[in-house]
Amino acid sequence: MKKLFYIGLLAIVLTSCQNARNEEKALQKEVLDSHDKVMADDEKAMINKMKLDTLIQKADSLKINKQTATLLSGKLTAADDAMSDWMKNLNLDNSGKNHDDIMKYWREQHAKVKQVDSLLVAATDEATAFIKTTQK
Amino acid sequence: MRKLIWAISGIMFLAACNTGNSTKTLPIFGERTPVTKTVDGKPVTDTLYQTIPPFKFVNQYGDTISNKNLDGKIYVADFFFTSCPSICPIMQRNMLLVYNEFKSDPNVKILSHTIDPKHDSVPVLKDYADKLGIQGNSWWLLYGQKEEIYQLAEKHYLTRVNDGKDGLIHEGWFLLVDKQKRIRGSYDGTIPEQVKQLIADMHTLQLEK
Repeated sequence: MKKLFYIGLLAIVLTSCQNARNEEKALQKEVLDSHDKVMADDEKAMINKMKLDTLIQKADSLKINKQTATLLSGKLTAADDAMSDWMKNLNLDNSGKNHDDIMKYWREQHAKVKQVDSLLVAATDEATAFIKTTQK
Repeated sequence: MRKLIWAISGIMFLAACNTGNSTKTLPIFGERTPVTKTVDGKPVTDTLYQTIPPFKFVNQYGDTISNKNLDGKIYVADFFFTSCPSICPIMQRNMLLVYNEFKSDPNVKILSHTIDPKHDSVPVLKDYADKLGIQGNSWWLLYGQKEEIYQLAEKHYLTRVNDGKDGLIHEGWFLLVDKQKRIRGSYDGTIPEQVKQLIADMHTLQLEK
């Protein structure tokens, strides 16, 4: 009877460990999927930066506001840097940490990557709007 | 008589199969421009294919690598960064298959461009290459200005795979370039079957003059 009790207890512990690991993996996957989406936004930001930099070089002949173009290009660079820094600091190895700490880490990273994405999208939208005005 | 017919049929069958293999050519991708020249007093129309334009980057050894280093060679290009947590490790594991297949052929190169030059300095690239087990000069991890790399990717390497979606540079494409610097194939570097096809196509391309 005692044996059966220990076997049952072991099964419960193993199941809960597995559930905890699955939960961690699911959240990590969510963050990495967000990262891939943000990479696409980063690419859009870079394309806009290239367009802006071309406009800045021809600012005098095109009679566009060089100061605004430079400011917007700087915002794109800052957002791109934020993305680059986030990726560099992301740590996939959480070994040695307990379940709560791992979940906390991935929740924080999720919030951070969303914040970086907002920066990229906002800077890209501003740049796109400015580039449109130069095409009239 | 019947034996003779069978023998002739067999020879014809084998000859047909052989011809099929030796004449296999890969398509040429990219824009093409017709150019009319005068040869022996007669107008002759030729086709100019889109090629990868001149570039200059620095490899993991700190050496400058330009388009001239690829003259007369075939190569595979891809885009990655060392801290990439998602697809890059899969891509580089698959690229190792290409590396191991062709590392002894000096006329075949692999060019992996980092899209995070802020963090992927030359020593970081060297460290990454060492961890992958890359030796010698057949696989170069290239450092350069981010804008230059994106320009090359968006306007040249990835035009073939551009389906209007966002995020092309981080989709894991392997691009096959011939001796004339024309794109001859694009493969999803995260799918082993496509990488096998790339290796087979590289062998085909090696035979082209």
